[in-house]
Order: sequence, then C-alpha cells, then structure tokens
Amino acid sequence: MRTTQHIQLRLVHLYPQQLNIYGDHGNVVSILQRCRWREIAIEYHPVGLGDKLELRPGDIVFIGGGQDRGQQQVAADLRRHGAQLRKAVVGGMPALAICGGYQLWGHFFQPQEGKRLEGISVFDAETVAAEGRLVGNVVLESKHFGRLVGFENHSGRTTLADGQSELGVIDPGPGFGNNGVDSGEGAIAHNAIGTYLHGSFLPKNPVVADWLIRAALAQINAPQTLKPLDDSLEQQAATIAAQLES
Amino acid sequence: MYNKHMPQSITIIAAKIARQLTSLKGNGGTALPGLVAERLDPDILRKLAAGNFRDGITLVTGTNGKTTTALLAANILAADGRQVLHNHGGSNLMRGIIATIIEAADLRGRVAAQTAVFEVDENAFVQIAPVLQPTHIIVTNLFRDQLDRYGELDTTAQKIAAAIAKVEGVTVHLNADDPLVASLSDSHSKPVSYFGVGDYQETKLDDLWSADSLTSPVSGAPLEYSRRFYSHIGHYRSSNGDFARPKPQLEASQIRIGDNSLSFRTNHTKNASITVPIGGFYNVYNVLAAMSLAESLQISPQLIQASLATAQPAFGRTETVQYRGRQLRLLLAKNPVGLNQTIEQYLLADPTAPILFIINDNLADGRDVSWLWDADIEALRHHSGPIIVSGQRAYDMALRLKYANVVNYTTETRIDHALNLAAKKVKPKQTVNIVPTYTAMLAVRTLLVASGSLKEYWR
Repeated sequence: MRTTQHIQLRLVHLYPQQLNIYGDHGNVVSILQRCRWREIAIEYHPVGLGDKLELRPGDIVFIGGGQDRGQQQVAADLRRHGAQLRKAVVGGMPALAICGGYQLWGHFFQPQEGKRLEGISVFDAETVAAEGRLVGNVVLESKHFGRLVGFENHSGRTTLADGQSELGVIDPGPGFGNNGVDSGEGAIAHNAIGTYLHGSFLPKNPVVADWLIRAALAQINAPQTLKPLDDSLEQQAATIAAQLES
Repeated sequence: MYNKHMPQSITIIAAKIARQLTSLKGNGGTALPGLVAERLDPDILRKLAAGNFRDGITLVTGTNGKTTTALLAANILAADGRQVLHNHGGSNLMRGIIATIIEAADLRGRVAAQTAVFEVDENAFVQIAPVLQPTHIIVTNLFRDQLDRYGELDTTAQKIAAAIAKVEGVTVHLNADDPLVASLSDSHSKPVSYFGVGDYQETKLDDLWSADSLTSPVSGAPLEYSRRFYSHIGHYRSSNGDFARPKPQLEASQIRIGDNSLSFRTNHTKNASITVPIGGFYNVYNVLAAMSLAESLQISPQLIQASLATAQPAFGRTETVQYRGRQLRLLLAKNPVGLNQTIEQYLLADPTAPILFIINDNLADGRDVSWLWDADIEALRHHSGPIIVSGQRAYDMALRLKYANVVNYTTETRIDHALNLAAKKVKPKQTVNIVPTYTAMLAVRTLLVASGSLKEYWR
C-alpha cells in the first residue's frame, strides 16, 4: 500500500485568481482528494500571471472558466506558455480546460465586445461569442467516458475543425454543447479535455478525474491501477442531475 | 392588450383584483398584480412614481444585504416620523415594486407615504432606476450570484453604473471596501458618500475561491490588501497604484459581534456606540449603509441610534424561530460569499449544534449548484454535531461535504422529514442552524407556519 506514497503528482492550476467563476474549486478538490484517498501524493501548484511555468512528468494541468475580463487578462500571458503546453499535451500530459479556459485552448476567442483573443491551439477549435448565453443542465454521451453531466453557461460558440474529436454528443440532452447547433460538446486531444461543463464537472463525473490521474501516473511510469473508491454518492448525484430539465 | 389611452384607474383596479385573487390562494405572491399592471400599461411605474413620494425614493441594490439594509433604512425613516412605503416582502423586480405601490395606492394612484425605500434586484436595477429617478441609491456589495440567470458580474456592475448616470439629482451611497462597488463612482459625476469598516479581524476562512474582484477595474493590475475582512471586502490598493479604496465618509471601528447582536463606533459617533440586535459582521455594512442614508437626510444621531437598537432581522436572515420547543435559526444562503459568512459567523460558533442544509435549484435559487464548491465547506471538518442535507440537490451538498472530509452527515431529501430530524437531534439550549436556498427557505417557512411556530409573513 505504501508503494505509491513517494510518487509526486502535481495539479498545476493556471490563473486561479482570474479564471475561477463556475465552481472550479470543485474540480481541484476532486483531483486532490481522489489522489489522497488512495495515498497518491499530489501537490497543488497554482500558476498566476507572470509566473514561470515548468511542466514535468506527473503533472495534471487545469484551467477554469472566467468572465470576459479574466480571459482578457490571461490571454497574452497564456500564449507565453503555448508552445510548452502544446508539446506536453502531444506527449500525453493530462489536462482539463473548462469554459473560458477551453476557449483559450482553441485557436481564438472572439468576445462580443473588444478584440479577438488569440488562443494556444491545443484544440483545433475556434470560438465566437454571440447574443444569448447558452445556459442550463447538460447530459452528454461520451464514447470515452459514457454519460457525463454538468451545467453550462457561455456566450461563446465553439466550432471544431474536421478531425478534432469532441468530448461527447448531446443526444437527447438536455444541453447546447459547443455551439447549440451540431450537438457536439467539448473536445479531446491526446489526454487533454476541453468542455463547457461545470456544476462542478469532476465531482459528479469521477470517471474523468480518475482518467486524468491515471494518465499522470503513466507519465512517470507508475502503476496505473487505481484503488477503487466507493463512488455511490457521486453516481447518485449524477443520476439526479441527469434527470433535470434544461 | 396595451392601450395608451387606458385610464390609470383601470390598470390599478385590475391589479388590485389580481392581488385579492392571489391572497385568496394564500401563496403570498406579491408580484402577480404588478405583472397584470405592467401588461396593461408598460409605463405604469413611471406614472405611479411621478405623482407620489414628494420626499424622494431610496433604492437599495447589490448582491447581499439588500433586504436587511432596506428594512433598517425604512425603520429609521419611519422613526423620524415619515410615512414610508417599503417592499418588505423582498419582491424586488419591476413587477414587485409596481405591486407594492399599487397595493398602497388609491384608485387614482395616490399613495399616502411621502417617501419610499425599495430594494431592487441588481440586474433589474438598470430598468428600474431611470424610471423611478430616486433621490438616493445604496449599493451594498457585488459578488458572484446566480450566474445562470445573469451572466457575468462585471456586466452587472457596468449596467448599474450606466443606470446611475441616468438619474438626476441623486446621491449615491457606496461600500468603499468592495472594489467593484467603489469603482461605480468612476463613470458618472453624481455626489458619492462612501461607507466602510476601519478595523476588524481578517477572515479565518480559505475564502479566496469566492472572491471575484481581486484586480484593478482600471488596469487589471492585482489588488493588494492591507486588511481583508472577507472575500474581496477590505482595504485594497492596486499594485501599480491606479486604484485604491476611497476614504469613507462614514467609517466603523471598535466592532463587537455576538450571535444576535453587533455594536461599533463610527467617526461620527465617537462617544456613543451603535448597538443593533442582529448578528454577523457582514451586517455592519448594512447598518452603515442605512446610517449613511439617514445622515444625509439629516436625521438626528439619537433617532438613528434608537431605531437601530430595536431592529429585527429580515425575512430568513438570521431570524430565530421556536419549533416544537426547540430553537431554529434561518440563515438564507444564495451564493458562496454569503454561505462563507454564515459558516464563519454561525456554524463555527457552535461545533456541536445541528446544521440543516437545504439546497434547491429552482429559478429563484439559481439552477446551477456549482457555487457550493466555492464555499469553504472544509472549515466544517471539525464539526461534531449532526449535519443533515435536504432539498432537490441534497446529493450535491452531500458530495460537497464528502470532498471536504466532513463525513458525519445524513441525507433526507424531504424537507419536512429533515426539519423534524433536525429538531429531534437538537439538545436543550442549542439552536439548529438551518441553511436554506431561497425557495427552500420559503418551504421551511410554510412548514413553520403550518405548525403554528411562525405567523404568516405576508399579511
């Protein structure tokens, strides 16, 4: 049981001050607790504006959602780390980008007012804001993870390029997903996930949290078999959320 | 349906009939008559305001503290001998305010009250303020709240600033300790009176997850706090010096907070302390806001002090109730900042007392329960008393507790069962702290009224 104690994973949280508006703390807590309950050592490592980013094997990168102001504040700083993040993702580093963070991990985000924010192109996706926010409960089917539940709230409409996989499909829903038109939701590239779902996302979808943890363990060649946890409460909360109307 | 030649009296009669019908149904719905009136005449609010309230109208807006501030302010004005109209039911949208005025009006639309204090939803404020042309506006604070309905907080602030600019001859009372609220003075040239807290202990909670305005509204530079009382409330200055806390005209110090009382001195009342029988540090700001208004209306310090000394908590805000021989306290929770304040001021005060969380996700609660994750529930990990979770999203709250390593809880989705369970578990001399979302609070009150513990509020 002690064998994994020395393993040091890191949860690298980008811009927690600027991008944290939709319960992003829940995603952080989920990853940290699911490691600690299994005696996998993990360190929380926040990275702010102007800070140095030095990724290493065993990192899980997380970026949350924010207001337009928060996105404007971080976009240029995030581009400093673009090449490093793209390379790490291609190399298999696990990552989760929610809402505003997801938009900036595509090629660009054009807000309704103000200038276009260039992204870092981890995902082959473009986002343009439009009148009318897409708001409500979401249930999606993911071929990677099965049923996922959450809540979305965004003005940006994200379009994936041909060949860019979505995280899942909204069928029958409820929910709008990437753009409210093509029923796709989120994006997945290597071990990086982008999604509009909060609610919070990982606590009610522990299968994704564990997938991220396993990918981080793989990066340091540690055993990827995770000690099973009792997820009956998570399942119950997700089942109730899946029955909600939009 | 709208006809611009519709006599005002017909609109008023129709609304009054609607009022009678809703009160027959006994659901206390104060907004429907306003909806009827608004449908018949979209300009009705302007007409009603224009012929009434010769001593002016005060609007109270912001995320938290509107109801308490408006109640305290209305009571002070009444103590000064003014007849005050006040939307005490908390019906704070356009239709609620129309309904409040029509209920008090005769058939020609005349109201006896010479002044009015209305709390106004912070997102409805942009429509309401330019129509009512208030003489005073109070902004309490701005925190993230019900993002599913309203989108972004910065947008809310911009709309409030734009609405203030459209009001002639108004005095604005702003919370100096909230950077987003303080920045509202930048976009108009109205006279501003700031209130704030000079000195108090810093929060012990890990509550930065719920802080939204930690950067300068001017440049985006980070704010540095010499004192941070809670969330983004405190004494701040941006790192590049382009934005700082304004010096408040009215400032509280020597603050003492009890379970059911608070007291402080101000720079205006150095020799006399203000004592209010309502607990919670955050209520100091609500008291200051009401005092700022009263002082600018030249109400005497003695009258202000006397009125505050007999204040009562507003509907569901730290209100205590006897239920089957046990004491319950209602602590409405709407957003992470408010919930953190409840945790710090009440739940940590007695780690052995039962806590009942009731989380609903109706429109009035906010459909999105993500905010539960941004509150510092981790602070309850040493709570040894029983914890019960209930409501439509009981399992989301249970999950939140689980991830905070709070393991000692019971899930009971039915609110009536959960209430009885909590009452059964409370020991003599203890108080059950009930933490409900808005519609859950209404549901609890209905149960308390049915059991004879509470009087019907609306009548």
